Amino acid sequence: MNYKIIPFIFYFFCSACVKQKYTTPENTNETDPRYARYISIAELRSNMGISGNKEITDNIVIAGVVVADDRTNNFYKQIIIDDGTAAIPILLDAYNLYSDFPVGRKIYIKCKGLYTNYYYKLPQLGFAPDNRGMISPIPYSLWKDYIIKANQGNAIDPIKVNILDVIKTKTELLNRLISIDDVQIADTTNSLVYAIPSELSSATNITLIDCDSNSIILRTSGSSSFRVVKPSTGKGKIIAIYSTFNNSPQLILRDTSDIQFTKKRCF
Amino acid sequence: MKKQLLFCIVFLWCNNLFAQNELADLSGTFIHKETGNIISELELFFPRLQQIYSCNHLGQFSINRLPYGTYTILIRQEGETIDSIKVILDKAIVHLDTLFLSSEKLNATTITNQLLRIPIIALESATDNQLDDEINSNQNISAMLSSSANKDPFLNAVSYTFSSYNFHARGLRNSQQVWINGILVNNLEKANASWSTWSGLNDVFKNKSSSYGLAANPIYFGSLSGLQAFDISAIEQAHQTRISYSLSNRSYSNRMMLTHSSGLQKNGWAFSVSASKRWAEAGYIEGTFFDAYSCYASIAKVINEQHSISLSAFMAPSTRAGSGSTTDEVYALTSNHYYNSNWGWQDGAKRNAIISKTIIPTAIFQHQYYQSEKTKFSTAVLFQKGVFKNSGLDWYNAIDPRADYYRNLPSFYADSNPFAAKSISQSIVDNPEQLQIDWARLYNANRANVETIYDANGIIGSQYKGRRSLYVLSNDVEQLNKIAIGSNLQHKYKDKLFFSSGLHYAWQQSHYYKQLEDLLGGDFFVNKNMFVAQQYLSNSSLAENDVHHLNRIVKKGDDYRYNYINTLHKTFAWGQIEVDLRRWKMFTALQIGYTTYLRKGLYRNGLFALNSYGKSESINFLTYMVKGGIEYKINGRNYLFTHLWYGAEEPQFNQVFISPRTRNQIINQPRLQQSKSIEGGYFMKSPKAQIRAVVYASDMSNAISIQRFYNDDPDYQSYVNFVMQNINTRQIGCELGVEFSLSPSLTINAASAIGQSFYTNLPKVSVFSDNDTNIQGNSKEVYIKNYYLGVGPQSVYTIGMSYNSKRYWFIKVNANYFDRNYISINPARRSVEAAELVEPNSSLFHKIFNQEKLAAFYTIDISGGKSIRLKKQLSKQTKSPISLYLNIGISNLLNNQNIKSMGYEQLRYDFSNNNPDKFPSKYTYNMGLTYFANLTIKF
Repeated sequence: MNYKIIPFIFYFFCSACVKQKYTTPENTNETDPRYARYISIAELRSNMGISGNKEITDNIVIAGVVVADDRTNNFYKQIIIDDGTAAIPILLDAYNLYSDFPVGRKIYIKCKGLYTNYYYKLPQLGFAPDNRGMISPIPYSLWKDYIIKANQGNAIDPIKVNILDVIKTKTELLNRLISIDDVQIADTTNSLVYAIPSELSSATNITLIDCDSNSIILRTSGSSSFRVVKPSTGKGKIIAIYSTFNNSPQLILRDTSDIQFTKKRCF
Repeated sequence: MKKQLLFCIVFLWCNNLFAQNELADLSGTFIHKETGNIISELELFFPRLQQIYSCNHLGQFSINRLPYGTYTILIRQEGETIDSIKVILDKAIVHLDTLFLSSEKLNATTITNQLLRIPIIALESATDNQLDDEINSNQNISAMLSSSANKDPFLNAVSYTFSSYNFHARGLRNSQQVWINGILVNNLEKANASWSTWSGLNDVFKNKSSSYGLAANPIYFGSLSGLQAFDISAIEQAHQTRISYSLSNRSYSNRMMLTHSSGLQKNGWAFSVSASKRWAEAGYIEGTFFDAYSCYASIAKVINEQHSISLSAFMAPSTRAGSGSTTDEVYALTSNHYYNSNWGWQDGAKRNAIISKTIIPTAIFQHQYYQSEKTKFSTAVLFQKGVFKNSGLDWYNAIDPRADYYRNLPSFYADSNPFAAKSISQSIVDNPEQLQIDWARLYNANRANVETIYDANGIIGSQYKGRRSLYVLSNDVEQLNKIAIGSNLQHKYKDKLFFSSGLHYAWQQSHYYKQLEDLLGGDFFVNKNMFVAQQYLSNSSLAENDVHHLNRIVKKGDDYRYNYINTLHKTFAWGQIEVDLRRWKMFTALQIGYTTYLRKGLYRNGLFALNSYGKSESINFLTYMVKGGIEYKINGRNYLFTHLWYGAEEPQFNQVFISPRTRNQIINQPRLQQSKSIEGGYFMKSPKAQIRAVVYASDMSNAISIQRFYNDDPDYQSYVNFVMQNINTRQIGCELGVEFSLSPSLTINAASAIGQSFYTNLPKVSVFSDNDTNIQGNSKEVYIKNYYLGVGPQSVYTIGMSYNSKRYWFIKVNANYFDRNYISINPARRSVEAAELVEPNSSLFHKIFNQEKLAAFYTIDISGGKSIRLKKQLSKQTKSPISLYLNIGISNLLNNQNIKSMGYEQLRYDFSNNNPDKFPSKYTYNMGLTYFANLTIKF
């Protein structure tokens, strides 16, 4: 063997390397592109009309912070964003939306081409109506055309109200994150768990009352991951999204940690 | 002259195993024409066999068991061809007496014409591709017959043409046996031989013999799919140094290979080393790359006339990025038949999620005992230890990250919201890269997901807070350990009776687990089953993949999800008797074996707490196979033969355990799989023409199939194991190969195979879910009788012409036609439930039940090569003459990129709406024009 080929062998094994290391993508979770020209959600709501599907034909941009996501499956294919003036659910066609839009994330929505409507009097923002005439959740493949993710970790302070306020000021508070002090579950004997399974009923109502016997419904999906949990029987604060079904006001819980019934019941 | 050289030909005894040909012994002596002296240290090179034989110090050579036929033998001295002879072997013993070589021939510098007429490199390049491409372990019989191929026009076509287009000889997907230095190297668990273990070592994996069909093999019993036997010991490697460089546009773009072999030296030692590197920054399919090294070393010693030992070791660490199949819809949207959903951009680079890594070092020690010219005994021991890793994306309660996920495609909205469907189509057409993995999104989702795990790692009261990864990249790991020992004995009696037998034992242990490879920007993952967590809310321990370690925090490199060890023992013994009479030749062979399977769970799965941890029951099979045949020689050139086979073999490990990843549960009454086969044919071999015509029929019964997949059916929403037992199939067909020499330079060849491979009964399918506690499967009958098996094109034809110039070049052109390629069916779609709401004989009814046949197609392949002998002055540098070989092969010359090579129906089916289009079939396309160019320097 001719040993002059040794340099060749050396070259041979060092001649080419296939890249298998990748640069970590930039962390954009802290970045707000700061779109200057956008309208408030309240303004969007005021343009919705009274009922029916309405296509947004103007170049409208709204911005808001996610106040409720689907981490516990109590919200289904929607997130709720709030910009301090009002809040609105955004219908999105995927499961586990919280992986992209967790509570606290700010987003911008380019509304042109999207639709608004009322779901049993609850305002919503979504995509073109489907064959049944209902506005549909925005398909995942089109999110990038309508939604711009901004920074996460934005603090959200719930609006402090009492049950009476809620019932009186229905529309202003719709979809907003509210907190009510000193409420308790009305009937502790029947409400063993937050919800019965979805195979039996899509959702379960629990009545909350305050010490003045004003009441409001807490509605929990039969698919929520905390449906099997037994709610505390004490009295205390609840943080929830205020919603409506026709004219019936209801609260929707994000997670059981939003309930702090640690005090002694009124009665 | 050392005594050992007296028997340097001893080791050639078993190198030629040509199953259904007549075998002859050839001997002779070389004498110097002018002086009358003996000429020693000559080599005889058989280009057709790609084998080299040596003379002893008396100038004598004796070569046993060569197939009948006409051979050009090149006579070499010190690696240089000095003359050639033509020999016709048409009887059992051919003795050439004295062969005279003149002075002018000895030490001559010119290359003989005969050398140039032989497409040596053509053979090498074809073999190269097979060895390299086999890294997929998508092996089949057809790809591995190159040793016999040069002698059989049908096998030649199968090896070099049909196998490139997903053809499966005889409709068999069964794995072929591969032996190396007397040890069976097939994986005991999967039954396949992992060609990736030695890919890239083409220079030293050359000495190969093979058997096709049911014919007798002189050493081994074989399998229904035949066998390949390599001899890689240093003794078998010709004395030479080879450096080669190849350029291709297939799986890799560059290959460099370096080999040096000492040949058998006068002191009885031989050594051989080889190394290669193959790589591609970008393969033919978008988003793929290839990075592989190979190395080999062998040392051998001829101890005395009777004993020799060798130690050979090799490994081929490789890393390659994967591609997949997808639906017509995605191919149309991307306007790319080579769309690959597995990659996505990550900061300017294409990152592929599916990466396969293999590193399996193997060592084989062999001892050969040559008692006499009539009896040979060989024993070998194999040690193998290594790892296979296949990566993929994994996620926990997060948006499905798969780039071509069906819910994100237009078709998902076509019925409910046509406007949405149209908008999505337009969006993808405008930006096809949105159908690739969005790595930045995965990283940012992980970074944003801060969670606290309570009672982390099973410690009550402990908390673990951080960025819990929603998406991770993980490996499915198999750590393999194998030890095998085997012996075989061959004896011949009066050149009429040939006896062979052997005993083989192998132990294999495979440790399987999922390993976290990359947290993708997160801090940790948790060892839980998300499907179960969603379903069983009130009992969180059910969702634990290992209840011995609750809420276990998983970091990079940790195991999770599943963790178990399979142990297999396989012992078998065989014996064969061949009788060779003047007109008749007969053989019969029997093999008996015993196989044991055992699973040992290292996790106690929450759902299957009672039968997932610890050892399973031991599953044992007593197997047996018998075969026999008769050959009638009409005359020296025309033969008729028929062979029979009956086998009862064990099912594979993964066909016995329903879900080895989760539990020890086995299928109901595992039984031996039976096979019955018959073949018969005519063989003609004359100096100008060769014809091979064979008909065959095989029946398989009691076969088992377990397919595992995620089932979107609302009744499951889970990973399921689709168990089908007692499957019966039939393979019938005919094979034809013809080769005709129009002149010494011009040859015409043609071959075809027409087969029917189909199901012959109505087996039952049982579905076992991995994500609920119900261990009883739901059973139903599936009406799959007479549906075809998805085994590639079942009608294949080729016709070609080759020209070997006297001016040291050759060219070969073939035109090929392929038809009747049926896609693999989803058996569950052939059930009553699949069309409950559908009017019988409506178009939808037929759409559900009919089996799709892929379009027929034709291709043209072309190859050519040239040999150059460099001038003597250059050769002085290397002591040996330098030869250059250039070879180029082009497949699919017309660059047809619309050939669907493979298709399958998805196993998911929309039973609620009886809609066959909800989960449409998936396909892969054959590559367009591909080339392989190779330059070799040999000295």
